[in-house]
Amino acid sequence: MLINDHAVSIPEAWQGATLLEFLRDHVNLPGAKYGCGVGLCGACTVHLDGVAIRACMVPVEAVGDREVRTIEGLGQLEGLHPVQQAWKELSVPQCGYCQPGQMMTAAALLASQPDPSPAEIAQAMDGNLCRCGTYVRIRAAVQRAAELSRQA
Amino acid sequence: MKHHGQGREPQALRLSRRSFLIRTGWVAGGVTVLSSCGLVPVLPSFSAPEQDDGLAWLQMLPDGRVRFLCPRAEMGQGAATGLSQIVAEELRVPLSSIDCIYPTTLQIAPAQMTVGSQSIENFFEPVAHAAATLRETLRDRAAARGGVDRSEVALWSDDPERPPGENAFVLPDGRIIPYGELINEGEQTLLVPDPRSAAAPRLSASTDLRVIGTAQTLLHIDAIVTGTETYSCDVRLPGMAFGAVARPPYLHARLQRFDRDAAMAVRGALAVVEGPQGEVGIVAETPMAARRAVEALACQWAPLDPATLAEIQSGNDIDAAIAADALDHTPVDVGSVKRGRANAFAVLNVRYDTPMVAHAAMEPRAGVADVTGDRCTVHTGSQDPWYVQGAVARALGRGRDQVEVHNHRIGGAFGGRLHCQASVEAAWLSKGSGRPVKVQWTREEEFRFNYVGPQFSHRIEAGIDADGNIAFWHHRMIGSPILTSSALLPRHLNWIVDRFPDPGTWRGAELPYRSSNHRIDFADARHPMHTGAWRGLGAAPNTFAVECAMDELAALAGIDPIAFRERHAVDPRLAETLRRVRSLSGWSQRPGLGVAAAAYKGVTFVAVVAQVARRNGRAVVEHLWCAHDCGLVINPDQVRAQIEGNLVWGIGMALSEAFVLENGIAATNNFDRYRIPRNSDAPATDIELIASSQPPSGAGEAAFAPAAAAIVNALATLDGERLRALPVERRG
Repeated sequence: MLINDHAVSIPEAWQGATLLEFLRDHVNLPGAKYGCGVGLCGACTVHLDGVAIRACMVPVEAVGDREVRTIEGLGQLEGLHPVQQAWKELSVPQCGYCQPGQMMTAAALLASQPDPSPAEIAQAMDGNLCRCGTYVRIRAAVQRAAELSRQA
Repeated sequence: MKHHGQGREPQALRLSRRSFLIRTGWVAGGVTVLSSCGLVPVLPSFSAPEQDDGLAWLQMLPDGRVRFLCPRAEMGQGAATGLSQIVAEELRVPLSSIDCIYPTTLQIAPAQMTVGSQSIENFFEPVAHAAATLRETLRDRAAARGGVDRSEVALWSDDPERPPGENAFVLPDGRIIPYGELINEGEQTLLVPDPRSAAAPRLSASTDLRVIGTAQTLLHIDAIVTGTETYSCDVRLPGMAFGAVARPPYLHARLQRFDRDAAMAVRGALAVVEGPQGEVGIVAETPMAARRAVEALACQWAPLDPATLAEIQSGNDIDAAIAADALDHTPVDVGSVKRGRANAFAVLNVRYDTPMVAHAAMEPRAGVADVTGDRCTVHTGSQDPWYVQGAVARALGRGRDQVEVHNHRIGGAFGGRLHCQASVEAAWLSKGSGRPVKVQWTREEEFRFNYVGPQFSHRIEAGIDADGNIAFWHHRMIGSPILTSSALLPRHLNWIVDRFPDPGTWRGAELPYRSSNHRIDFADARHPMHTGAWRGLGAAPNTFAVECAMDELAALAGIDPIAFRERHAVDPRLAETLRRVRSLSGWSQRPGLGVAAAAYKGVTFVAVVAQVARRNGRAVVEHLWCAHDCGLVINPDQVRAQIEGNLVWGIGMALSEAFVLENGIAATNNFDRYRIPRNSDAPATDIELIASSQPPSGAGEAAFAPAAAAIVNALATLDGERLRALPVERRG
C-alpha cells in the first residue's frame, strides 16, 4: 500500500492488525487517533483512495495496493491544506484529540463537494464526535476552508 | 515576598544542590530568579500556589527567549496559552518569545492538580509576580551595566511609538540592552531579587495591557493541525512493547485462576506479569498479540454474591434518605426554615434526580513506562502528574524521586484524569518484562474502570411570601463522595473523611439568591462503583436543581423568571448577567424559551437563555444565549471557546447522558450507550463577555449547568409540564 505517498508492506507480525494500529504503532504515524474502536466517533478518520474511512474498522490486509493518507500527509507547516489553515485561523481545537479526524472528514467533503451548503457540512461532520464541543467552530472552519480553496 | 540581602547587586546563590537544579527544569545557560526563602517549595497537590512559587517556573535565556515551565496540565482549556500571555505581558515581550513546556515531576515542585477551573484564578498571581520580578531583576543588571540608577532604565516597550518585538531595556543615552545580553553564555544563576526589584505585577493596576485581553490562538496549534502534537498514547520508546491487563466481568471481582502457559503460547507474547493488586497482565510485541494473549489467559473470577450485587445497583434516593434520617451534613443553616414555611404564601416541594455520568473524553487513557535499574520513566496524561508519580512509586516499591513522570497534553479530562491508571499498569508490566511498555485502555475500559460523576437526588422545599420574595429555601440531597473519592484515597481513610461534608458534593447548592431562611442538608453515600470529580463537581447537579426550582417558584409567584432571579440575586454581577442575557436574547415569556443562571463558586457569574422545540417528539435545542462574567479576561477567544464548549456540554447533560449499571456490570461501554452531543445537536450560540476589572476567575465549567437547566426550563414552557429527572430523553 501507499501511505502518504510512501510504499509500505505489512510484516507478518502485524497481520491481523487494524489499519489504525498499523499506522499508529508500526508505521509511527500517530496523527490518526484511537477513540472507540468500533467506528462510532471518527477520531481515526483517514483517507483511502481519497474517501474518508474509519481506520479502526479496516483490517490492514484489506487495504491492498490502495492509497492511504493521514493527517501527517494532508499538509505540512509550510503549505498547510486549506482545512488546516482554516482550523488554525478559527482556533478550532481545544484538547485537539478529535481534530485530525475532523479535518480528514472535512478535507474529503471539500474534495467531493467544493462548495458545500450548511446542511451538507452539518451532515458530513455529524459522525465525528468532539467532547470539548467545538462543533460551531468546526462548521465555520469548513466554510472558511471552502473559501480558501476557491481563492487558491 | 520576603526580602533578603541589602546589596546593590542581586546576590547569586551557589548551586551546590543538584536536586534543586533538576527541580527548576533548567537548561544550561539562563537566569531564574528565586526567593532565598523556601528553596524548594513542596506542596501537596491540593494546595493552591503561593506567590513565590512561580519564580522557579521561569528562566531567561541568553538568546532573549523565555523558558516557561507551565505548572498546569493542558487538556484543551488553554491554560498554557493564557498563563504564557501573562508572562509575556509582565516581561513586555511578544507571546512568540515564550517557550512554554510541560515540565516533568522532577523538574518543578508539585503544583496544585489541574481541576476546578483554577489555572488562571489561582496561578495568574504567582506567574505575574515571577515574571515581574524577573523583569525588575534584569533591570538591575541593565542599570549596573550602564552605570545608571535603575529608575533611569526604561523598557523598550514603554514608548508605544517604538515597533514591538524588541525584548530590551533602553538607557538614558539611547543605548539598547537586549534582555539576552544580560545573561552570560553558560550562566546558571539563581538570583535573589534586590528588595527594590520586587515590583508589583503590572496587570493588577495597568490600563496599558498589550498581550492580556487579546485573542491568541493556542500555543500548540501548529502541532495540533498537522497531527504532530504528542499525547501520552502517541509516545513511542525504542524497544517498546505493548501491554494489556485482564479485566473482570463485573465490579470488584476477585481473580481466581488463569492459564499462563496458554497465554505464553500466543505468538508475540513476551511475558505474563502479576500486578501489585492481584491483577494479571500481558506484555507482547504487538497490540493484537497482547489482546489475544489476554483472551488466552481465560481468567476465572469469583462470582458476585447477591448482597454485593444489590449494593452495586443501589442508587441515591432522597426520599429514602430522608425517611432513614441519613442526611448527616448541614453546611448551611441560616434563619429558620420552619418559621419561613409558617409565613409562606405558597410553597413548592419537588424532587429532582440526576444520573451517574461519565467523562467520555475522546482520548481513552494510555501510559508508557520504562523501568530500568532503580529508575522509572513514565509518560502520562494526568490532571495530577504528582499523584501518578506517587502511585507508580507505590506500585513498584520505589521512592518518588526514582520516578520521573512526563505529563503530555490530554485529549480531554473533565475531572476524569486525576489519575491515569494505565501509567501505573505500564510501570509494573515494564518492571516484570524488562521492556518499555505502552498500555492503551480501550473505550470499554475507559467507561467501565474509571470513576464516574455521582448520581444525585434532591428535594427542594421553598416558599414565597405575599410580596413575591423567597420566604424560605430548604435543599436536601444525597450524592456521593467527589473530592474524597475512594478511587483516589485509600479505603482505610473513608471512615475519617466521611465524617466531614465533602465540599465537592455540595458545591453549587448554596443559594445565590436572597432568602433569610436557608438550609442545606445532605449525605455522601459511598457505593461500590467509584465516584469522583466530573466537570463542575456538585455544581452541575446542584445548580441544575436550584435553577429548576427557581423557575418553578417564579411561576408560583407569577413573576417573570428573569425578573424573579434578578430581584433576588445576592451579587450585583449575577443580576447584571441576567439583564444582559435578557437583551441579548430578546427575551419574553413564551413557549420554548427558558432561562437559568449561576454564581459558579461565587466568583464567575453566568446567565443562559435556551430556545427549544420538539421535532417528531424529540427535543431539539435551537439556540443558546449566554452572558458571562469571569472577571479580567486574559484571552477572550479562549474564554469564548470554553463557553461554547460548556453550552454544548449542557445539551448532553440535559437531554441524553446517563451511565448505567446492569447486573453488576457497567452497561455503558461505548458511545452507542452513552450519547454525547453530536455536531447536529449544537445550535448557533450568542455569547456576551462582560468586561470586568475584577480578578480573573474560571470559565471552564461555569456555564454548562445553567445551560442544562435553561434547556429543561425551556422544555417545561413548551410542553406545559416539567421533567424533573435527567436525562430528559434517554436515547442511549
